[in-house]
Amino acid sequence: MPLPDFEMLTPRTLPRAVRLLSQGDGIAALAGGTDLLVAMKQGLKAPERLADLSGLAALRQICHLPDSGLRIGSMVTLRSLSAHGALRDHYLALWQAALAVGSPQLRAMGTLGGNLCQDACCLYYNRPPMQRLMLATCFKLGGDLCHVVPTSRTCRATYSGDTAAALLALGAHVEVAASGGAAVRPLADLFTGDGRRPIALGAGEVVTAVILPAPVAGMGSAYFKFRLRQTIDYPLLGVAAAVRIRDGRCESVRVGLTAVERAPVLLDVSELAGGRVLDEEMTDEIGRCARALAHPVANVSEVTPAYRRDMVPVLVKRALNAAVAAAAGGLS
Amino acid sequence: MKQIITLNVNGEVREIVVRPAATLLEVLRADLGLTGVKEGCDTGACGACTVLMDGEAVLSCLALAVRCQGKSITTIEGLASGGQLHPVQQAAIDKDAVQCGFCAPGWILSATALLAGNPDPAREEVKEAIAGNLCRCGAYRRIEDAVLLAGDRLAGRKPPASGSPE
Repeated sequence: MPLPDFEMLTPRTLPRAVRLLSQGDGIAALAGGTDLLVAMKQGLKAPERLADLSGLAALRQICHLPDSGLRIGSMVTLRSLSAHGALRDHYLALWQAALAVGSPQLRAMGTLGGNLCQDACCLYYNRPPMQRLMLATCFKLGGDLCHVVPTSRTCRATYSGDTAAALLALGAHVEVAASGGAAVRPLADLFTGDGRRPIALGAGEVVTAVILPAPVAGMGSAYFKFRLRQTIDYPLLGVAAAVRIRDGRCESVRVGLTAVERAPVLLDVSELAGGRVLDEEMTDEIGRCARALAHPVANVSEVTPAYRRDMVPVLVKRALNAAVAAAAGGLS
Repeated sequence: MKQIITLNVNGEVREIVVRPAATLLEVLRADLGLTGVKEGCDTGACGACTVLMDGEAVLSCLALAVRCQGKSITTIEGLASGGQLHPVQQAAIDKDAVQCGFCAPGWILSATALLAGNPDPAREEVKEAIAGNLCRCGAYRRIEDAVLLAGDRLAGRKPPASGSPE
């Protein structure tokens, strides 16, 4: 499958990249290429020009912030990210999520920013071009129906990024550059909830970094991914949990879900669990809350939506227990 | 617009004229005749097209050639030296780790990258290193055995005296 032809632009400065990307629809930002180039090979996207972000050295840095938080450049590869010492020590869920993406080769090429900004996927939208031609055009391709949920009046393509679930649970922000300058937003604001166009970036906007809050004592996190093969595949369900425990009692409990909706889902149950022990009764309750927020659709062929939904409380409990263990073990 | 890139391919500097849309896979196979690099799924999901780029295993089907300017690329053709197979290649033969052979260039390069940084991997680490290389024949167990044997030989260790694990 040859790639459609395009013009390659190689901005050397961020303002130049922003200026190029402000020029409208025919141009797309290129990070690692493991998502965009596949979509182009499948005939799903055909930008006339690509702006290669790999020449922007500042986007490949990981640095500690004055408040002890961590700033991860958006062009840091998932492989470099998982090799960074701070991750395993302080942001275990992100370390596990980064290592759960794709395969070693995909992690060597794919970037954190690209992983966050990946397109939503779907059994019909992502099928081979010839098979797609045999079906009526769906919402995501500009049509007016959904093959997965025929009663739906909107596109139900699923957002399946692993790192998003972990970063939501960890309370991450993203730094977005635009022609007016850079702005820091809560990560949840990066997602539209629209399967057709899941990433809330306008023309000229580029994710430049992910910002993690400073680690604090008693913090622990974990990420669990459900898929049939333990490699390469997208998640059928991904669950991250991040807790802060003091004297055995919860101060904050946050759960991130992926592959169950058109955007990753954050469930902050700090109020419910605050001051309480994270015992089985509590993890069951949080599992029920998370299950109610998960609406997987029949967008994969391997397992039913009902099974994936039933797996939500199972993985939520595992993730919470692992996060508590990490908090207790000093691995936080 | 076509441009000229310089690659170091298997120790030899090559100048090639490429289109922006040309993948490294296409350039290696079509322009340089290195057909040991295999085109499998062509969408990053099988690992048949794996090559080493500056020592790291990457997918040549998703690498744009224009972005590889100045990189060192190793394909399966570049592993043997001085008439001697690379230890991973030799171990693949000795452990009979190849059936149809289509995935072999890919996993041999993934394993080579692993052993370069970790000459004494545990079986789990071997599994992780080749997790991006699908083998439709299902020869995984023998592939793991071969990589472990190659590690023993590279490190000058005597391999454990055991037969086939089955």
